[in-house]
Amino acid sequence: MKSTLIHIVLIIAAILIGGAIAGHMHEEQNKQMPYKSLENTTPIGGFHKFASDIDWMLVIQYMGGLKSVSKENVDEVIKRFEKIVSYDPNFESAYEIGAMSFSVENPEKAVEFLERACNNPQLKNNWKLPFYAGFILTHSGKDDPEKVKKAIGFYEMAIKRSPTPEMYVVNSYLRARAKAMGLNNDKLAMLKILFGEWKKNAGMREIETTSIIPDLNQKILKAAQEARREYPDDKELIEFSKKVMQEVFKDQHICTYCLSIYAPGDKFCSCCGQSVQVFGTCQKCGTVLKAGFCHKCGTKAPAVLVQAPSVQEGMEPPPVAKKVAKPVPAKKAAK
Amino acid sequence: MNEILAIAGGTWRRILRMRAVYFLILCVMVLIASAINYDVLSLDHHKDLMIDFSLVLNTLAVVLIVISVTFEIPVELREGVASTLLSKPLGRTHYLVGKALGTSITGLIISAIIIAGFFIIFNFAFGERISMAMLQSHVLVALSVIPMSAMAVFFSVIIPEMITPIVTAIAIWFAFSTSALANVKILYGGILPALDLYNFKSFAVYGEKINWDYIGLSILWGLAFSTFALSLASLIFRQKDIK
Repeated sequence: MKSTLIHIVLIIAAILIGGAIAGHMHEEQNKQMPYKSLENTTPIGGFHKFASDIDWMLVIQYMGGLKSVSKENVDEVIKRFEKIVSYDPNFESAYEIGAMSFSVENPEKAVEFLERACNNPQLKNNWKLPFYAGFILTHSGKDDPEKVKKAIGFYEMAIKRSPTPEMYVVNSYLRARAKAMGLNNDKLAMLKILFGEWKKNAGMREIETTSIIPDLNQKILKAAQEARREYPDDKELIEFSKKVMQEVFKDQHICTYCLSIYAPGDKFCSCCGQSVQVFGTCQKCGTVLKAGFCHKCGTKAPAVLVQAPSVQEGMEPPPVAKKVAKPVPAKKAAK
Repeated sequence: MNEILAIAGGTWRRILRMRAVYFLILCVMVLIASAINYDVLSLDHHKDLMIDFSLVLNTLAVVLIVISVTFEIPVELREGVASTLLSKPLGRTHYLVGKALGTSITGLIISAIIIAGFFIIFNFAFGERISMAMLQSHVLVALSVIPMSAMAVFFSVIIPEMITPIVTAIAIWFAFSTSALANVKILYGGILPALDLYNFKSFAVYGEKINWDYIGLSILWGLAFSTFALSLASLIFRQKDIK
């Protein structure tokens, strides 16, 4: 009787202690593996990762047997990839390859598939997933403003996730934003987007917020040059680019015609041959100044000459119809 | 305590003396190593596959060891070996605890051999150091033998010999999915086994490190659940007639 009582007490104590420990461990496990809640709840003996590996190899074989993903097989392809990620919600390759494989036949499903991956906390550093989602959206819904808007969100996510965003990701983001503006002149739209980003950033300098777009100033310059080259007669564009140059590059010397940066002492723009306002030369002998005094005649340089005057005020661009500048390579323009 | 160790010693010696066990371990190693050839078939996911393969095979090895006790206890009861043992100054609880302990130790030894073999193969195949997550995930698989042994002993006592191994295997299989009942306090982990708490297989591939406190808690939970299962088994076992 006494032994039975001891057994019963032991059972009750073990149940209480076991239940409490298991509850605590379950919480800890969810903290360590936040993606666990996304896993398929099918009881497969805890072999979810193994099942996803097997399904992954099977899907590779299946895809190898297809000529292309078409209307006839797209549902089967989706089903197979869905199964893989349900067993292993962290399977990045399955998301990437899967979504791209059925993105043509079923773009909505592909975006939803990638969106799920983007929301997985374990994959928060993967920038390709939101980029692919944005890419599919922009290419499948070119005229749908809602889709373009959604794509912008994905591109933004991709840029924020990447420590050094790839150029094509940034450019896709900018193009999507320009498209969302709905202007006829895409170059002007791009310039407006970049300038808006610059202004937003300039206003927040005090709290050290930097733009998500790397090399913003260079991009503005390049966009302005391209716009002026492609639409030399667009007055709105000319006015706007002039305003941009005055605000963004107020400390630099830029040819008002082709928008290339020129060096101290230059009388003509080396890119378009137009005359430019000379700066940084000795007032007495005309030598290019290297510091506060002329190294040839010793004349003290006036501060105004050493420091940069802003973009040539009042210097109107020459008539563009007669002489069109040659395309300026991006690297050269940057120099 | 000596009596328990004597029973446990008999169990682990019997299993570890079997040559088939070492042959199976060798097969496990060959299977793990074969994952290296799946680079094309898995689109360069063969490393993940090898890690996962090792964990799956380690789990299966542990389950097989545990199931072996479900054959042993009924046979001992049927053939009268148990009655000989119990005629000595040995309680029935001691007998059950000894069996569970012996199975757990056997499982831990075999699992440790598989872990060591896997680490050597992995290092040789990829020239990489073993990550902490991989080691800890394997340790958790090895530790899962504690509650599993108690489950096996429990089922060996309460259900007929013919279906004990199958029922034990099914129970272990479903015990990895009881986390669906995690909100039901006491039931989850108290009465129902929560083997999912030992399942860090995907963490071995994606994670970095498990808190050592967690591993300590997993041992504690295993002991608490074993106490429950073995006490209940002992209560039932005491009512049984043994030839």
